[in-house]
Amino acid sequence: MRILLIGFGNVGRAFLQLMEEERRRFRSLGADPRIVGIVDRGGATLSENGVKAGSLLTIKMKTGSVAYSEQGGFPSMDAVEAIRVAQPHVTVEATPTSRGCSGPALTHILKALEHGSHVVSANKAPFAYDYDTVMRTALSRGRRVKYSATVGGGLPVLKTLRTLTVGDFVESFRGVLNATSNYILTLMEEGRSYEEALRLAREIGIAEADPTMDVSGMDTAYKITIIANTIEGGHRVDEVELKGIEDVEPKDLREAALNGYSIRLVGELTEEGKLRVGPSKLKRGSVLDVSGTLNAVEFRMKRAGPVYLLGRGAGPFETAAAIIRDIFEILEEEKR
Amino acid sequence: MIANLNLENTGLELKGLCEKLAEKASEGLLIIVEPREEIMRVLTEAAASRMSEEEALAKLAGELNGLAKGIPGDLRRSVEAELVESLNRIVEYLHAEKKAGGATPRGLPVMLNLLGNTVAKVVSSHFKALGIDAKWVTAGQAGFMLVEDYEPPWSHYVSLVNPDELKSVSKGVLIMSGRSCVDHEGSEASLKKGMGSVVSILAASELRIGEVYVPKANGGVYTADPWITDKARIVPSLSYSEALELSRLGEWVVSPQAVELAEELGVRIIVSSIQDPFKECTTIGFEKAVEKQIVKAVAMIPGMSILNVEGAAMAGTPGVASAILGEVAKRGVSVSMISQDASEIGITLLVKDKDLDMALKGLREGFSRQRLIKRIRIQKDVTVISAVGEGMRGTRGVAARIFTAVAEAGVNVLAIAQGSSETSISFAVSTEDAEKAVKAIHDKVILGV
Repeated sequence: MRILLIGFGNVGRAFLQLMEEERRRFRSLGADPRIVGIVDRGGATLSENGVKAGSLLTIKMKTGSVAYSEQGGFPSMDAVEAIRVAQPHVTVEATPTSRGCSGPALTHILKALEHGSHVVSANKAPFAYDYDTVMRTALSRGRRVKYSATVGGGLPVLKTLRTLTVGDFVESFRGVLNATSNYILTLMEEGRSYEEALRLAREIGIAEADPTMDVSGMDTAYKITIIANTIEGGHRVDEVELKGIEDVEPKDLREAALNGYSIRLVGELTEEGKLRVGPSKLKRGSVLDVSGTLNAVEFRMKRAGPVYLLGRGAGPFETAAAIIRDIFEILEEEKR
Repeated sequence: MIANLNLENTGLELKGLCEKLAEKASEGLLIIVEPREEIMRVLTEAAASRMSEEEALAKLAGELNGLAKGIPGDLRRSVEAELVESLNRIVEYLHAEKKAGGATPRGLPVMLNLLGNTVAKVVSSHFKALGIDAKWVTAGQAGFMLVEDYEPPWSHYVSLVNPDELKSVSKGVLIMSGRSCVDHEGSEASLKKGMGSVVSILAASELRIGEVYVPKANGGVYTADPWITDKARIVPSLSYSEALELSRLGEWVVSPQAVELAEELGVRIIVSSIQDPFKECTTIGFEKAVEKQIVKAVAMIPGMSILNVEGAAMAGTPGVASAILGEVAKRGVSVSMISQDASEIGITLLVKDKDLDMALKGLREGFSRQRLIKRIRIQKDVTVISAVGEGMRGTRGVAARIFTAVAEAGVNVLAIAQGSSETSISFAVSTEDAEKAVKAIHDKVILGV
């Protein structure tokens, strides 16, 4: 199985590491996965026999790009060219999620499908802006597109959703889906200001250097759009009514606590089909009232009633594990 | 001059040691400081909620106050204020980690580095108390970077990626927090135990300084543990390969990686005493410079367990040893010693006591569907003893002398292994017999009494 990895940041590197560990499990399915190429901002490296992970990391650290590898490094090669040359069986899209549009990830995904490759993506943007285009292309090319890593990471939100919707119907859902903002709100409950909580979250690596996507609610908006698209398609993140946590003050949290509530950044699809993200009051002790870096999702099913999922939000390894699960699924589906 | 101040080696009495080191301040001094592993572990345990914040804080405060002992007057007050600030920040981080549900990948290095930097600040304050303007930096600020492999066996090492940075900061007296590093993204990364000694060797090579001084509380490397035999004496010189063997055993001076690197870069390691940190006690250098004694030292690693893996079907089956070791490795267990019968129906592994259950689990699960392994026998409370000496290579009868001495002491040997380098012979004995065996080898083989 020839795999091309596009994007060599934290998720890409974690993916490479986990692939080494999971090699045996792949072989039990009769597959011999080989990462035949990696593309980053500086270019690409390609190797028919599979890239050498350890040495590539050193090269990346020293030169800033895998493209400077002495064996199979191509400094001017972009992802589209790498897809054409490598002819991968599966293309893993792990570039950073763009803001405001699908960005280059959409081109990568469409080109990969056109060249007959299945796609596994950790990049949210194409599934929040151009879901229908991606899925139509996949259908017309007879290829599969998986994107479990875009929502929840280690928490199997999309897989559970697909299982639930066989013979049932999602009436609405709500979720606390962003670990960073939830963590900041948890620290603020102790009286810390927003700025102080954000500083601590940054210092221990929970918040990114630029946390805008998280605290503005945009990351949650992407995720609920992807969930809504998985349910019925036809949604774009632009339609989400959006409010972040920047204006929440410790006194709001104190006041809520006195009345038996907590404040969490909640993303939801209402029964009327509206997508909304914003700070919401949740009854203390309710399932969605999670603290720290936990995520929680509630699906309200027409027949089964409420179904809950609870677990730790995504980090690079959780996201990489979700990518690997998607590759497994493709392999199993191909065998049927 | 460069000194590697590992508090594991020196102990906590810094005042006197800094006074001695300061005698060479006018020649320019780079001091690489490493906190004790035990105190770093306190922080790791507290971050993982395996130790209460209060207990961890009490231990950290005790350690840091002990290190600051002897700093006088106003300076003392400002050091105390800095210690309180560092401890407050550590408490804040511990609390933040707890709220995040446990140690976070970035939070723990931030805390460990804060602790390491605080220790470096205390060392620089000792110099300031002597009227010397000592500055401090982290290894990361001096151009060092943590490099981790992303494929098995996930190695962890440090590289000097910005030599110009090191050269620009290495002026006058500089104290470097030796384990406080950065990763390739510039985020804080904490180096593992002993990696400060690797930083020292890399710095010495880059600054074209031929040796690194490693002060040690009891001065030099001994022929055996002086607590076991009062006849133990300091070994004046060791080759790199002898030092490498000893650094893997109980005789911890610098890390094995540092010894290997020192040989590659041609840097001598001079183990000295804290009373006279620039006077050679044991010199680790090239083989030709060392004395020709056959066995130089004997050391031991207690707390081991033996796993005897047996099965008639193992005989003549290619890849059995690799499969057994692979299953153990998958559980994150390091095998200290391996021995196999020529009949190939049994293989003996030595692992740390604390890893025994994991190793057993790996073997049982890994071979549950195969009939290759018939039986696994275990023996706990085992100690590995190693006799080390470059002169053993090609010298006939050394093994006989060692095992005769052990037998005459009435000690039963449970397993034996010797590497092809012939620089050491290792064997396992019951822990209750270990000291007797060490004493016998020391007195009869090393001293030849």
